[in-house]
Amino acid sequence: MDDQIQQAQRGSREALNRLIADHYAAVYRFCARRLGEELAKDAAQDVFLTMQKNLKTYQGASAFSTWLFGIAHNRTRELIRSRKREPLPLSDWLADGSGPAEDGLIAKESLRRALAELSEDHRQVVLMHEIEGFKYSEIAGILSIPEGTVKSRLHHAFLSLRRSLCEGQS
Amino acid sequence: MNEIREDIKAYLDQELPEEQVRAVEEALAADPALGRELHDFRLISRSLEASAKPIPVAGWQPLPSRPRFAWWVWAAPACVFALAVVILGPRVGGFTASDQAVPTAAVGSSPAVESAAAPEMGGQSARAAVEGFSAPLGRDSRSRDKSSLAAEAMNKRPSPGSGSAPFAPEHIFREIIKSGNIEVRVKEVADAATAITTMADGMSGFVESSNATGGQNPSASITLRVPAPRFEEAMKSIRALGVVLNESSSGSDVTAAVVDLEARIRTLRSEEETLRQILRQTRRIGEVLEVRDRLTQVRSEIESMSGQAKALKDQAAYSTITASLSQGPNPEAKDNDQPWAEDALNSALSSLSGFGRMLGTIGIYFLVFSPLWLPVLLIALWLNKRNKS
Repeated sequence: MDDQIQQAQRGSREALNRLIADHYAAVYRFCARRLGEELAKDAAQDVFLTMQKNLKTYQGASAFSTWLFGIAHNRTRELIRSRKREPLPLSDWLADGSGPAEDGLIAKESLRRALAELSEDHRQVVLMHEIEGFKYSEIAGILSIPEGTVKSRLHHAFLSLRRSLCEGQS
Repeated sequence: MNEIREDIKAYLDQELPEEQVRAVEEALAADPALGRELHDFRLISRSLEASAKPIPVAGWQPLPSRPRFAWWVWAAPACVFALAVVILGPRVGGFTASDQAVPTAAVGSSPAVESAAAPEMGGQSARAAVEGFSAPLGRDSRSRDKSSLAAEAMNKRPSPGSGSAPFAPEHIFREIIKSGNIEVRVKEVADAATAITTMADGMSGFVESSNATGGQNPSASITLRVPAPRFEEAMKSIRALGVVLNESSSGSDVTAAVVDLEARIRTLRSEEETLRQILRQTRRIGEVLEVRDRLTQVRSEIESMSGQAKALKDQAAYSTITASLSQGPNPEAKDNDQPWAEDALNSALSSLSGFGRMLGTIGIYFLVFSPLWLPVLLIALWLNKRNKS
């Protein structure tokens, strides 16, 4: 286990501070994409409070970031439920505008439409992998599902995206 | 072939083990359709990545860093100071630790404060501690205030042995059921309702019932219960939410009813005891049944009266406020600004004056005790400097 994590578990304020500083931006963005930027600050704070409270229970079975994003996933899911918020609103994931982000790429409007046609489970793994950059094992750890399921969902989601985009072109 | 097809995305993401990578590459070389699929997947993946919305990060402040001096540098002189105050305190102007403890118990009269205050008194009731404290000071007006406030904090339950009281406790402390109705026009009904709920929670009270209607003219009616000593404070907070359209309050003295009920309960208990003695001595079945019937009747009366007495005391302990909130234009708001501002100013000045007095008292104590704690602080600073070098 990381030395910094062990020090934080022993109660070192500096180590805890560094741990939060290292992960704050990623956790904040994780929350902002699911809850919107106005709620992200409070949600990220809740995540780090929970982390601090439960730090001693972390045994190193998965990567620390996976464990932390698992906390963030649970917290954001609770808030989405309690506030009856739309899960994974695409406006918080894709940049504004309708054209392609770069020459030779697919237009954002088409991507938005194709993503909207995916089921929530498929859309979740696509966004986590393609936009947030999580690996298969990390997604599996955060969502508490087998890695094979992540692989299968991504495969089927991409087939569906390809089909929707081809239909859109034709 | 289908199995290979399912690996295309994982191949693109470099998530496949080495042996499967080779199998996919062979399949790609043999099947141009798979190659097109891989190309399309890559294009979708790159397009998604490039279209991601940038999220600027906000809100993080680092935790306070380690203090410049080790904790013991401050702790050592602080301990000396505290020890000196405890040991020498009673000789310096009669200011004692118990003198501090009484206002703490008296400030809040809620049950929560009451339960928190009791352990500080070393197993005695707060009331007993107040009596013990105030007696040597000759019961001046200040100590009497503390006694009455502390007794309120104890939910109007003075100890039976409170020396100067000639009557039973229920004769001294009146049980008054207070209730108030207030109709307020506010800017936002929802915000005002939340403020009232928060206020009730903050006063250790609770919202008994509430109902709200929406539409063009939203309104809400909230019934809340707050500890009786904080009734006026609660009414004042509700008034501050907007323009008061109507207000009324009433108080009903139920002391006599409670005293009467308690006297009757005592009589019935005495009768119950007598009946039990008779029951123990009686051998005839007819008499046993008759005594048992009477005993059941007496017991039932005791339960009923105890319930009534308790309900009256509960009602007296927690006042009821019914707040009706409505929303709409507010022509009188400007007129009401002045009293509100004056109240706030007076309250702030009063707090400032109290705070100044408290700082002054602490300062004088620090100064008087400086020959004790100052050398310790200097030694600790010197040791800290030596450790660092």
